[in-house]
Amino acid sequence: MKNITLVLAALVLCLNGCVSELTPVVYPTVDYETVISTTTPLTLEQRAQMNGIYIMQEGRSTFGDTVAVRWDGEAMSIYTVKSVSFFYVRGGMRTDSARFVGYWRAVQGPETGEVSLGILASEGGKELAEGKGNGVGLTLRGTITSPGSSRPNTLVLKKIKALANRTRGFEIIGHRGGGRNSDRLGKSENSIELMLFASQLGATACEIDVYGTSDGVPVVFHDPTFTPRTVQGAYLLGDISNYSLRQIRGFVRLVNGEQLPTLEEALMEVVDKSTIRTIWLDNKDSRVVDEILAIHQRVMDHAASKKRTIRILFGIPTTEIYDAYMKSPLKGTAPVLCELDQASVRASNAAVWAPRFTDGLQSDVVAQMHKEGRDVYCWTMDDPGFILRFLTEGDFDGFCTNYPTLLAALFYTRKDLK
Amino acid sequence: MKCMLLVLAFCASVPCVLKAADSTVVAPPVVQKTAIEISVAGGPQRTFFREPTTPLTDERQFSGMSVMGKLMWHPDHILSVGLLSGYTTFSTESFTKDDIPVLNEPFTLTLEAVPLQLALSMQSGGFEVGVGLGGYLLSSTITGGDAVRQANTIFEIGISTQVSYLFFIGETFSVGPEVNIHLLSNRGIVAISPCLRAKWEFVRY
Amino acid sequence: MRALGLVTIIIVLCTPLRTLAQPSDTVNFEHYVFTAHPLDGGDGVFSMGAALTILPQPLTEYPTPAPMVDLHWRLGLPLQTSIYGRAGSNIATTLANMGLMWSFSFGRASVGVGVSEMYMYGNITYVDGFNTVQHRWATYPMVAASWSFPAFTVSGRFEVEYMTSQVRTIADQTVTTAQDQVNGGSLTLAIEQPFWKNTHVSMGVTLNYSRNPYQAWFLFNTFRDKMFYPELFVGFML
Repeated sequence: MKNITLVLAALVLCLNGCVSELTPVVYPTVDYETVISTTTPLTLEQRAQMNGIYIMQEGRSTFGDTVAVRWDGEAMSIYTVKSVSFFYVRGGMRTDSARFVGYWRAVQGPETGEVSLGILASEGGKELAEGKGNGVGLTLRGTITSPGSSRPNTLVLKKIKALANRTRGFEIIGHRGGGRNSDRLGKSENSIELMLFASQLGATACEIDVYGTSDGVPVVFHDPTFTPRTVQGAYLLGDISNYSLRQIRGFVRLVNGEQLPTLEEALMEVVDKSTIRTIWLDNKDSRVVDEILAIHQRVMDHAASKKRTIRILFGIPTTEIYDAYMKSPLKGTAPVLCELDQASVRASNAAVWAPRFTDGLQSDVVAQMHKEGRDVYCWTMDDPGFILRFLTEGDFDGFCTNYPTLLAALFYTRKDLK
Repeated sequence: MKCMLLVLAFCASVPCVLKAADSTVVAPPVVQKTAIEISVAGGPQRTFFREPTTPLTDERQFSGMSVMGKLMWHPDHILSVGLLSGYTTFSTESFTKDDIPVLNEPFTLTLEAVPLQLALSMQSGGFEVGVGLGGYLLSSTITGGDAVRQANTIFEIGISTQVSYLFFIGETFSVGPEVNIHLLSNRGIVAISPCLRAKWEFVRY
Repeated sequence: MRALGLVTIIIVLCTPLRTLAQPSDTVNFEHYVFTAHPLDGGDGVFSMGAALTILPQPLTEYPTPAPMVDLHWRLGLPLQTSIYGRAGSNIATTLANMGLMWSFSFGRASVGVGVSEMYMYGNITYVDGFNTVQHRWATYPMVAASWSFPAFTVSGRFEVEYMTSQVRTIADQTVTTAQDQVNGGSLTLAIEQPFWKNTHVSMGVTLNYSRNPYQAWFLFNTFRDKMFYPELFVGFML
C-alpha cells in the first residue's frame, strides 16, 4: 500500500520538477574570418542585385518552394516560410564568383546548422562582378548541415524576381526588440544585442518595452516584475520599480547574460549601429513619460547630427500612459503610436494607430485612418495563416511579430499585396 | 545532492528494514475514527539553485533550515487533507564593496520562503507520504546600499513532498524522521531537508 | 531538477517493492471512473470535480494555472465494454469527450483499450480585443491499466491525441490552423479511494506532452516543440 502512495507522491514531485523548458539551441561555430579575409565585400549595388525572390531548386523539402534573400549591412539573410527559418551568411566576391558562410535557424524550433554558399561565374557570378543585369537567374549553390543528418544537404537557390513591396511601405516590426526569450535567439529580448540583430531576422522596425526604475530611469524591459523568464539572479523579486538602476546593474543580468539597458543607451546604439528605421516604444510606466519624451528629443538630435533617418514612436498602450502623455509639458514633441480607440488616436494626434490583430481586419476603420494620414500597425501576428490573410485582405502598414523572419518571408514573396 | 538522495532513500527504507529485522516492533494503531492532527517538522536544509543566484559568483548551493507545520483532517480512511505552512531559508550571501564595483558598498542578500499549501497525505501504519500543492511567499531582503534594509515578497507557485515514518508514543502522539522537499520549479529552486517530525492527534470523534 | 524527480521515483519505487508481492484477501473492486476494471452492463459511475492545468512558462511567460470544472462518467455495456466520457468547461474552453472501452480483469489487475472522440469549443469574444473562436476535433486511442488494493485503486491511462481539425476564427477571418496530425500524448495516473464514510474520491495527475493543448488554444502557440503540461484533478463520485 505504502509503495503506491509513494509512487503518487513521487509523480507529483516529478510533475513539478519536469516543468517545461524548450529545447536549448546550440548555434554552430562559424569561421567567418577565413572567408572574409579571402573575399572582397560586395558593393551596395551588388547587394541590391542579389536581393530578391529565389526558387529552391534543391532543399525544397526543408525550406519550401520560394524564399526571400535580402542583404542588410555586411550580412545576407534568407527568409523561408516553410520551417520559418532565417539564414545569416557573410562573405564576398572572389574575382567573378562569390563565397559565403554562416548558419541557419528554424526559429519555431531548436533546429540550426552551418551554411556554405557560393555563386559560380557561370551562374551569375560574372554578371554580379561586373554589376550587370538585375540578378535574375543568379544561382546560390552550396550545402547546409542539419541536426540528425550526418552529411551536409545540398542547397540550390535561383533568383526569379525582385522582392515584393507595397506602395505605402510596410514595417516588419520585431516584438521585444526582435523576438522573445522563448524564441532562443541567443540574445535576450529587449537587449541591445537583439535590437542590433533584428534586421538580420527580417525586421525593419523594433518594438521595445519601457519601464521605470525606482530612481526614475526608463529602462528597456518587458515585464513589470523580475522573473526567471527575463533575468538571471535570485534576489530581485517583484516590481522593477522597487529597485534602483544601481541595484539592477549589481544583482541581475538578462537571461543571456547581457546588461539590462536603459532606454537612452538602447536608442543611441540602434541609431548608431543598426539599419532599423522605426522604433515603437511600448511605454508601460506612466511615472517616466516626461523622461521618455526628453530622451526621445536627445536621441533624435543625435540622429540628426549623424544624418540618420529614424522614426521613434511614443507608444500609448493604456489609458494611464494616455493621461500622463496628455498632461506632459513635452506632449507633441514625439510622433505617437496609440493602441486605444479612435477617439484617443485623434485626441493624441497619433501618427500610428495600432489595434490588436484579434479584433480582425477592421477595413473601414483602417481606410479612415489612412485618409486622416495615419499609419496602422497590427499586433502581434505570429500565425502564418492569419498573416497571409491580413497581408492580402487587409491594408495594414506594418505588423508587429515575434517572427520577423516569417513575416519577411511571407511579405517579400507574396504576389497579391495591396 | 547525492547525500540528500541517500537520506531520502534511507527514510523510505525505514519501514521495510524495521519489518524485516525487528519483529518485536509494535504496529502503530490504525486510525478508525476521524481525527484532527497537527504536526511540526524541523531540521537543516540544503538548497540547490538551477542558476547562480547573482552575477557576482557561481554559487548555486546553500545551507539553511526549515520548519514546517501541518494541520490535517483525517477522516476514517487513509487519506487526510489540510493546510501546510512554515518557514525556510533558501540562501544568504554577503558581499564586500570590492565584490560589486557598480555599487561600491557591502551588501547582504537573503532569500526566505513561507509555504502556503493545500496538504494531502496518505498514511498506512506509521508510514506517511504527503504532498503540498500551492505555493510559497518568497521574500528577498537586501541589506546595505541605497536602502538600509529592503524587503520584497512575491507569491510563487510551488510544491512540497514529505515522506515520514512515525513511532507512536502514547495513543495520540507520535514522532519520527521525515524528509521534506520543496520545489519551486519556475525559480529553479529545490530544497531538501531531513527533519524530525512530531504529530499530535488532538481531536478524535 | 528533472534528474532529481526521476531519481526520487526510482528510489520510492524500488525501496518498498517487497510489499507489492504480499497477498491480500480483500480486493477493492469499487466502481470507479478511471479504473479499467469492467463494469456490469447497465452500471454507471459519475464523478464531478475540478482540473487544474499549469500552462508552461514558454507559452504564458509565467507558469499559469488554468482551472476547469471537470466531469467524468462511465457506463457498463455487455461483453466487458463500457462507454466513458468527460465534459469540462472554464467558459473560455469547453469540451466534451466520449469513447468506447473494452477491458478485462485478472486478479487485482485490469487492462483495457479504447478510443474516444473529443470536441472542443473555445470562445473569448467577451474579452476586449479578442474576437476569437476555435473549434477542434481530436481522436484519442487509449490503453488503460489498474490495480485494485483493499483500500483503493490505482489506474493509469495512456492516450495519444490525434487532432483531426482545428479551425480558428478571428472576427470574419477563419483559418484552419491544424489538420490530421499527432498533437501529443498524455499519461493519466489516478488513485481512487474512499475518503469520508461512503464518499469516494478520485485524484491524480495527467502528464500531457503536447504541442498545442486544448487548455492553451487562445495563446496561438507557434512553437514546434512539444511541451509538458501537468494537469491535476480531483473528483467526487456521485
